[in-house]
Amino acid sequence: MNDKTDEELIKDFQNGNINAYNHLVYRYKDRLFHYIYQFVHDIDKAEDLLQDTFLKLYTHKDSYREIAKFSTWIYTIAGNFAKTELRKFKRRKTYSISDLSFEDNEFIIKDTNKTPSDIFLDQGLRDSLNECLSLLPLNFRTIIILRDIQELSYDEISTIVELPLGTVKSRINRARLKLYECLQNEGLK
Amino acid sequence: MNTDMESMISSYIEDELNKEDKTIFENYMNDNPKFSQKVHVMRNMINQFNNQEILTPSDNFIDNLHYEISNLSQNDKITTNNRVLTYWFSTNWKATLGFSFMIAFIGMFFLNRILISTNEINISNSDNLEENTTLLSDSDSLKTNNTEFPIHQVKGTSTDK
Repeated sequence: MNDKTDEELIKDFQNGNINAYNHLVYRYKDRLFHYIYQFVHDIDKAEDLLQDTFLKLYTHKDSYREIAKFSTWIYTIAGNFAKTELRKFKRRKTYSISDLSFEDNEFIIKDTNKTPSDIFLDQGLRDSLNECLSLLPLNFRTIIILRDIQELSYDEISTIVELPLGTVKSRINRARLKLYECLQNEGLK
Repeated sequence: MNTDMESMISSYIEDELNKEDKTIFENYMNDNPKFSQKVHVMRNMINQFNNQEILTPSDNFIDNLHYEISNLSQNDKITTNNRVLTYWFSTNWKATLGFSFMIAFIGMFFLNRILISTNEINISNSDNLEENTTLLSDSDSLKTNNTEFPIHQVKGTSTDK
């Protein structure tokens, strides 16, 4: 079972093999959890959404057609759950970075002598990078998560976000430039 | 800063530029240390993302999932028909709308029939009533006629004899 491709496993599952489903869950649970977490930043919420994703896989297995890779299909489901949750959360609570309390602002790098490349050595920078990522518009954030964190191919990303390949590439570049600018601003504070 | 060069940063980092573009890009970097620094930072940024510690769900995630699936299966057995109906109604809204109109039309047709038949009964009842009334009137008029000719006149006639 381990040497089977995702597409073979989902086909087996569609034919009633529950072990194939379990294999798919084991294969994808960690990366999908990490993917969802990048949107919601809440472990419990991310786990609930991951469960919803796999329940949807269970109940809607026949919706998958072998015209796309299984990975793009399951990432699309998980991403939709995560984005819906994010929108609900934003409706409940909207604030900008400047509205954060003093405690929330502690992640900001205050040492102005450091160059951007120097500060990459700090653990704090990783937090700043994640903070900057969370401040990106959703369409830029999704694409950065899929490319730089999940390390999916441009083709897969293009299918998931339903954009032409060229648009995906240019959007990734712009998103990275935005992240760079955000980090610069963080470093200057 | 040259926007054309900026748009090529990701392609350069991911080694997707052709030889000619790569040479142009690297020459530009050599001439612009600030731009070169930017490329360096962006490369590190991507590496940071790539090397992020992967978060994992809790140990009992699989158990919880299987529990939810067993619940789902039990519910499915109980409410299969409801689910089918709900799914059908939620996915085929046009058909649902048509179906609703059809039901409403049939309902109105039967309601109309009931009202008509009720009305017919009322009319026939009222016809009978009218007939009875007419009959009563006739007899009444006869009676009246009779009363127009008082008995004593009849008697009078006989007295005339």
